[in-house]
Amino acid sequence: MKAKKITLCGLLTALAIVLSLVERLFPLDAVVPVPGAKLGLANVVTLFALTRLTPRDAFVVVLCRVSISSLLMGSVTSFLFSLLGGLLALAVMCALLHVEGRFCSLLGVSVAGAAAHNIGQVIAAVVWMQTGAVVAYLPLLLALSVPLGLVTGLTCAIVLQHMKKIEFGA
Amino acid sequence: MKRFLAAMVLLLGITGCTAQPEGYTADFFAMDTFMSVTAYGADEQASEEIAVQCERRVNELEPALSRTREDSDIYRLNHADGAVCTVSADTYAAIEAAVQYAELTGGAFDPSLAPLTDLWGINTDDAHVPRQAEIDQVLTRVGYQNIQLLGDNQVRLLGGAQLDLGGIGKGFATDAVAALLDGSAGVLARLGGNIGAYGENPGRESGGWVIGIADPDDNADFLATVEVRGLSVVTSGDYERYFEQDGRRYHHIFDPATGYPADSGLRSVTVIDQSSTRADALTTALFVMGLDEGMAFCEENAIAAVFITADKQVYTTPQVENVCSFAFLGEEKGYAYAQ
Amino acid sequence: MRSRIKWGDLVIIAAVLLLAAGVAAALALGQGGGQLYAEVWREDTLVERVQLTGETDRTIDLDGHNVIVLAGRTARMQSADCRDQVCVRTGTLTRAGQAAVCLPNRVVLKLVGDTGEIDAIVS
Repeated sequence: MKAKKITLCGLLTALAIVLSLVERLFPLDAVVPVPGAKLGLANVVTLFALTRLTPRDAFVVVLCRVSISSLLMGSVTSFLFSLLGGLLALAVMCALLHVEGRFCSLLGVSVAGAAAHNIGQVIAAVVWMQTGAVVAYLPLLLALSVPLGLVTGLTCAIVLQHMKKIEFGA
Repeated sequence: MKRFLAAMVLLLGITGCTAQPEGYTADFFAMDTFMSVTAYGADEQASEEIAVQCERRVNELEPALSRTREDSDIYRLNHADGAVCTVSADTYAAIEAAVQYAELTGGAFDPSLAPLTDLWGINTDDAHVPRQAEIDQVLTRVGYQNIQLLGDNQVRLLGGAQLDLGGIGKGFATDAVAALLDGSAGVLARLGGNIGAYGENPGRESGGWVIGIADPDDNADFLATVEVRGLSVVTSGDYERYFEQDGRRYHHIFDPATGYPADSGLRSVTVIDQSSTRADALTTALFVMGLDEGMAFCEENAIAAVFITADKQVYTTPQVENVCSFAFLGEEKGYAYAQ
Repeated sequence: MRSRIKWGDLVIIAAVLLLAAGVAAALALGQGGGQLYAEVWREDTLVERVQLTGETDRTIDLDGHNVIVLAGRTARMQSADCRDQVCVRTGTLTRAGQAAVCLPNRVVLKLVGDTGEIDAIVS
């Protein structure tokens, strides 16, 4: 069981890194002058890990994804932004998953996660750049997180649906 | 969810704004320009007192530095035909400073250019390009070496030289204002193109004063900012005063070597210095020297300067980061920061 | 399927959008709440002091010598009958601390208000 779990975590991390790479095709920092600002596609992996594994595993995946993708293509700043964004998204989604099914669906969880991701990025930018000015981009980022969260949430739901058929994971 | 809420609180806290303390601003016209001194004292009355005191000091200096007022020392000196004149202590100190900076800059700044600017008619309705023979003739009367400081407030002008302290007058006035202050109040003095920022700025958490360096093409906007405390910031640019003839622009910063407006590829030079008089003289001198020579001069003498060139490059000297915090903001306007 | 929309999803989406609007409003207030006034001085007296809001639309004519246009949160010297035209060339003022000065006519148009990005411009 343990080996399977480690393998799964590794797979998810790899997938998340690929998604981070794909994200680079949409350079958000061109619109929003926060170096290292990301759409948060990799959140789909976090969400999946949270639903199929434990919060602890999800945390490990986020940590690995952020470290490795920053090593591959980022800088210290992008590491900080991604880390805070990723962890905040993880915390929010983890909390909301407890009420998922009764209160909301995966879509809501994912939207909240995307929003948290952007808030985390902005907080990191505020701390790092020592200026409150970047908060000005938060409304735009938050508005963006709705369609983006819906897409990632839907993706995750579809994946989970298929997983059920092949009796994967737990 | 708790973390989420904490983040929200943090974000909203950042956007909150700070209250503005009451200061007092004295606006007045002096030395052929508009001046404005804002003071932040212990209370409004103290602020007003300080600002008015500064205004009074500047007005007091005006006759000591003016060339055009017939009752002024400089006017008397310029019309003394080489005779020894006794001038006021303020005037003597200003002339001494002018000569000192002329020597320092090898004549790139020269306080004896008055006959030349008169010939070009700068600041009159009759601004025009003179004939070369006229320029050559007038240049023989230009040269700071012809100013003799004899001590005891006595000065003599030789060889038909004429003195014009316009190049350092506002700097001298700014320094005079600074000398009145004991540092307990925050004071922002805007004397024409000279800015003096002293004491603590209560409008900013850092206590510093943020000064924008004007965009040469749009003076109301700026290309960069410097945050300073207890320093003066002075800019000389080709856009301040100019006239056009036959489709060419002629500005008011003259090269003493050629007798023509300095054609050095620069749009403006800003100097950040403790002494506003020094900064005033240096901006003119550096503008005349041009970028390469000016940068070298600044490095040699540890001068903090910002150069803006005609080909839209912004340069700073190494000393800049030692005295202030510089921020380049001209990217959108097509400028590049050459580091 | 776990993507069937529940009422809670709408609540979350609404909350996110509301937050976006709230931050935007707080920012607009933070800047817009910074009050901005245009002052017109002639000689050494204050001729006019006008608060600039988004809706400001006024022209001040000083006996034909200087014409000042206030539009929204901006002000500019539209024309002047002086020879140097320095005030007109100064362009549009948008921030507290900026000023357009007509020396020959001794007219000053300046913006005052809360501390903005800068305290003064050196030119």
